[in-house]
Amino acid sequence: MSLKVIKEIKFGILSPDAIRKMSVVKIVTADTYDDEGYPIEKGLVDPRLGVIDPGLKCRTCGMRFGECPGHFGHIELARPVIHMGYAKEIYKVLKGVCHNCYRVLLDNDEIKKYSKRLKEAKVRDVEKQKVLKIIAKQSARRRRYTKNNICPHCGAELPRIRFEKPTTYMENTEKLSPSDIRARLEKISNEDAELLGFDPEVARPEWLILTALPVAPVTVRPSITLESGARSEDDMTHKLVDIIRINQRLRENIDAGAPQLIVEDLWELLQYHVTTYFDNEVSGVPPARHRSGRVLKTLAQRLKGKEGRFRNNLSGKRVDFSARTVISPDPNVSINEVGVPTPVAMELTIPERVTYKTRDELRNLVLRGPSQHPGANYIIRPDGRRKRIPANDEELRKTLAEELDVGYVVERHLRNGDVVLFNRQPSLHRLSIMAHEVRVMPYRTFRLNLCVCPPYNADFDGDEMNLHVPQTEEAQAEALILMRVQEQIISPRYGEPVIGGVQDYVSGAYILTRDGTEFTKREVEEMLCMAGLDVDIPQDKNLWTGKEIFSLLLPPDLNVEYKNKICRRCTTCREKDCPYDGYVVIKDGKLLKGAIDGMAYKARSECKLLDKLVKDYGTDTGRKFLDSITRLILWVLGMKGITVDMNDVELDQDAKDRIEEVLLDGENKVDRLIDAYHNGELEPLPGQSLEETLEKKIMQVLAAARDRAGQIAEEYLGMERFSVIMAKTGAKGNMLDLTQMAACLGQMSVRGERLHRGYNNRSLSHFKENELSARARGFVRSSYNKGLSPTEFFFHSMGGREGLVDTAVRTAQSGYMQRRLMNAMQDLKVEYDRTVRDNTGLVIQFMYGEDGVDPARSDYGKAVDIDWIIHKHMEAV
Amino acid sequence: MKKIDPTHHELVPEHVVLEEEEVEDLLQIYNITRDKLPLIKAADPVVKAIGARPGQVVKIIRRGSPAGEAVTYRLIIK
Amino acid sequence: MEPLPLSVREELTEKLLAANEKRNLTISQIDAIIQDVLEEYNRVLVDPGEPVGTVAAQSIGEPGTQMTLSTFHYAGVAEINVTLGLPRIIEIVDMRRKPSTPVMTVFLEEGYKTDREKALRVARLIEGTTVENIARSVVMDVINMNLVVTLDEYKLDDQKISIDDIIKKLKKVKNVEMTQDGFSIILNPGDVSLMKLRKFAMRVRNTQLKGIKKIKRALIRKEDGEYVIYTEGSKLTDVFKLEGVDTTRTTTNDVREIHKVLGIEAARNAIIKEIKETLDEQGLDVEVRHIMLLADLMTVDGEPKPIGRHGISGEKSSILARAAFEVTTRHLLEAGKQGMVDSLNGVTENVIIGQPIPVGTGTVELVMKSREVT
Repeated sequence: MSLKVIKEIKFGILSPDAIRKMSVVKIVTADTYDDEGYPIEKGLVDPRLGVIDPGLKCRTCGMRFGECPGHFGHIELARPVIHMGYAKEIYKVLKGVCHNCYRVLLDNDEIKKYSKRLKEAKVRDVEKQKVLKIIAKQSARRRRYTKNNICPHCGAELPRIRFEKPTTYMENTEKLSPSDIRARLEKISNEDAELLGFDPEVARPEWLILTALPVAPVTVRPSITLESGARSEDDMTHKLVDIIRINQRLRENIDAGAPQLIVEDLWELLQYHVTTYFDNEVSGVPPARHRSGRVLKTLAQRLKGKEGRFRNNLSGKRVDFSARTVISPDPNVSINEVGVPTPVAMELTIPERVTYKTRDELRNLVLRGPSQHPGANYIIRPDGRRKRIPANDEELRKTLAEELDVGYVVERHLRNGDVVLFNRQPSLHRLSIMAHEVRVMPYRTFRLNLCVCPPYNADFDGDEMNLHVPQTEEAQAEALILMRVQEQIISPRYGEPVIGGVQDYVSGAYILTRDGTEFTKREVEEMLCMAGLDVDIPQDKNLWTGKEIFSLLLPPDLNVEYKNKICRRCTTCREKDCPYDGYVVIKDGKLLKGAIDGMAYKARSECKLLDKLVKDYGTDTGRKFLDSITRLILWVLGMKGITVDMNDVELDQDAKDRIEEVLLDGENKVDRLIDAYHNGELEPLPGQSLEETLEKKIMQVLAAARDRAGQIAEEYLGMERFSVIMAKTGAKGNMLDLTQMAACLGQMSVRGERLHRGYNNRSLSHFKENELSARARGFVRSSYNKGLSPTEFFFHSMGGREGLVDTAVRTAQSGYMQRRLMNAMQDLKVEYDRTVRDNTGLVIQFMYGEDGVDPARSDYGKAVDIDWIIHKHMEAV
Repeated sequence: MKKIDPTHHELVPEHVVLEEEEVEDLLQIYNITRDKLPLIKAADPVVKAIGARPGQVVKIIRRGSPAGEAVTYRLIIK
Repeated sequence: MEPLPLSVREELTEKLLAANEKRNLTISQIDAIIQDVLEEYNRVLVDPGEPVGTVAAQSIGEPGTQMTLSTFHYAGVAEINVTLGLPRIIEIVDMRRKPSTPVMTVFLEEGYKTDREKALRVARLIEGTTVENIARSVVMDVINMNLVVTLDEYKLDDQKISIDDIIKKLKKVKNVEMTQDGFSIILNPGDVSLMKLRKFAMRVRNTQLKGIKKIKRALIRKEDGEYVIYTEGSKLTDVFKLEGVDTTRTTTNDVREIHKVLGIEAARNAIIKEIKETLDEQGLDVEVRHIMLLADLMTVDGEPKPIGRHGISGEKSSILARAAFEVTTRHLLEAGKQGMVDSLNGVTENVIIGQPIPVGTGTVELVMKSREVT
């Protein structure tokens, strides 16, 4: 690592002298290459400007393509032109200084006052900008006086100055030419320039008017050779060609003593070309175009925006040692691991230093070479030279292996146990990049434990993920300690697990642990063996309950009690005697009562069990628990099975009749409301119109009807149906989804209102105009099971479409908000005294979060779990 | 007409003007200069209500979540 | 060792007493428990260098993708629309001059808060009523060049306003000839142009009859045994002046207004409260500490500053960081003119120049020359 550190960067403006000084060649001809294809001297691709062809050497520095950074040239402008980016600045200066004595238009007292304020404000940039703004305003004010509009220094009468966008300045009715302006700016003293916001050391006001134009090196505007052999120049080169041509014509005309009018026209044209060379999106200036009509991308466009230099190349950089492929699930890899396909492992390498301890092993790897899996691709000699290990020259491999000694570095293949960073876009939070251990596997996808899907927000419908290999020991250690998956189980966002059971692992746990699940000893042995769980089990036990099997995974001193997801919220809780498995009791590591479900270890929710394991027993325990429970449940499900079918949402006739009755009743109520409205009997709610009142009441009635229908359906949907298990345990879906399948979909809505748009005063042509009834305004009384009528189907699609549009808009909006939040807050960090400060040392908080507690380590936002500590001490007695 | 006293509002924590020595201590504890303190305007209704002047430092005692009681400081500016 | 914060101390005392009730604790047990709590507290403290800003930004921004976008919804009171979800969060973070749906929650003083009649009376005083609100129609009669205001009988009764009052108020607007005909008032502004008549109609429509300007509605609701007034529109200063209004609890959702009336600390608390409530309503769980940090950052300068180009990001010390955020060229040109110096102590700047960032493990500046060790 280099010990040289850039401490600061000072900005400034290039003076004409500086431009000439750094220039290696004065460009005079607009031509690029001659007929033989050689660059023309003093042309826009003069060989002294750098090299863009491999094999050639730079005429200035002697370095080759890729090494030579390029060198600036310059163009002498026949007449000065305005730097477009400073057009407004120039206007401010012109307004602020006298045209006669060139002093700033403030009297001596004011100058003294503002100089002092400026000096004081220098510590904080914001303050300084405010003072500068005031000075600009104050110095320009005398010009606007109708009386006494004279310079406080020389007493000259001040003319009005007008600025016409983009680059014209008028004094009264006279046009000020850039030459006039430049002459004026030159005479401003350094002290006055400072008041106007200049740092005269690096930016004299007259430098805002260009007399010499730097020509960027060819390395930043390389020409590309097309397939036909013809060269195609960069947009910047095109623009420079324009500038040189006009510049030449202007000079010739001036020299020939052409009429003033022609000179001025050409001057204007030169101004236009220089303006668009800097920025091709200036308002009021027609953008310069390529022959094909395409708008040219010039300097400002290269820097600006998402695809600009700053955001695309400087804030975000491309990296080596990375891989990307499709992900697929594998419950047999640990949450800490990632399955890396062999071809990837053979391409990505880790530099390993040869020591006495590793020499033999690394020699062996070199011998195996790059085309066998545990192998190596390069060796790096102590002098820093890299040598590729050949794939098909065994002899050479042997010599290389012999040569290997302490001080060498071998770039060996990725192998099991290496630390890599794994990432899925969009990287919305820090859990989107985590450190995994490598497990090299056959085939071509990254393999991922299902429990880590939630933090990445990954699924397996074709998602791809990225993998990065930290190259130094320092980076690897840092990744392992700070970024390892098991260290991230608790989210810093809310202090609850983000990594945990998903979908079938939740419903599976319920099936395993609910009352009545039993296994024979043989089944238990098979299950544990196949799940790869190494636990001692008593040999004399022949019949096992699921709860007993589950208890094998728990630490022996674990004590938890909680109400789980399937708890029926009875008015008086019978706690330990709950007849529905709704109250979980774990005592001394034994699950005694209640079933394990979403409440225990489902990711992204309040989960009592996993939370406790991680916080009280450490992340290792948490990881082991998740690894083993997922494997175990896989085998439980292999034996007990879980599936969904149409019968899950089939209700018996009795239920259907009752639902029909409820819905009919609801529709009748709506009709009565509509009648009341038409007869003028409806009482408006306070502060609302009659129509609003009616709509609201109808919505209420229909919502109530749907809810009632749902309740009826729920009564008939028992726990023997798998989809009900899924909904109730929190594995996937909820009861509302199920009742929509079984009973009734309910009211469709767009923007929170019933559907009414489409045709004139009606939603669809199937209804009468202004019809207010339930079915005409998007009430879907069918269930998914029964099937939707054509009109209902259409209404349903309307509601669905709103959802889609919403999602699209939301992603864009929240993405921008996230970027802004990030940009505003990224420099805040906790100091050693636990204050939060920004990068200038400004204190934001005197104690982080007022109590200094890290949310990721807190107990549901609370600093310390006092109950648990007291409990521990009381038990100890 | 009722007089509005912002200091009694439940959103407003207690503001206390620090003595000069206390300010020095504070700056020393955190090893900072005055310009690194968070700011409060002299025109702030609470500052006016307690009659503090620019240049002084107010100690703000926030009660409630999640630390129970936390102290912060603001420098009064014009 | 950091001492325990007040909340932990209080909870510990309380729980120790409760535990002692159940089973007597020995002094050494209590000491051990306190020691353990102290150690545990010091274990869960943040590590120095932790990029808490980044974590906070992510924690607030990430759930944004899960929020609803439907602007209007009904919260608290069914009749008043409030902006919710992502648009509301953006609104707070942007520190707009006026929220799109300003709402006040007016609490009442002792003697008023349980009396429905008195509460209603306060509500009526708050609710701003213009001619337009109370009229069934305001029609320009172009033929006779006069204005016909037809009043709504029910609304008049509801608001307890008499026609005479209205005429009196209208006279103040412009003393023109007025004739009353039942529930209609005919205003004759004399010989004026159509344009003038239109303008006159506008002024008549917007004539304030009573209450507070810009407050469209005030509704009362019973909450936890007391009457609370919710208003559409917000004007704290005027409401505070009213008799019976509890000036210690009445609030608004307009953070800027809170800043103006109650000061910067109240604004900070309001930001926290508003963001927290919006997130909670969406069922999203975010630690308060993150929101507190955001609010503290927004209020460090003594007035609430927006997040973004016109606020915190635009005032950053680093030129490169500003250029990388938005309006790239302007910042660079300005920096050139003023000869600004970027001291490269933030995150973006160091990423740009390819140096380790000064947060997290990058906080440490200790370097070992590896060559010389071997």
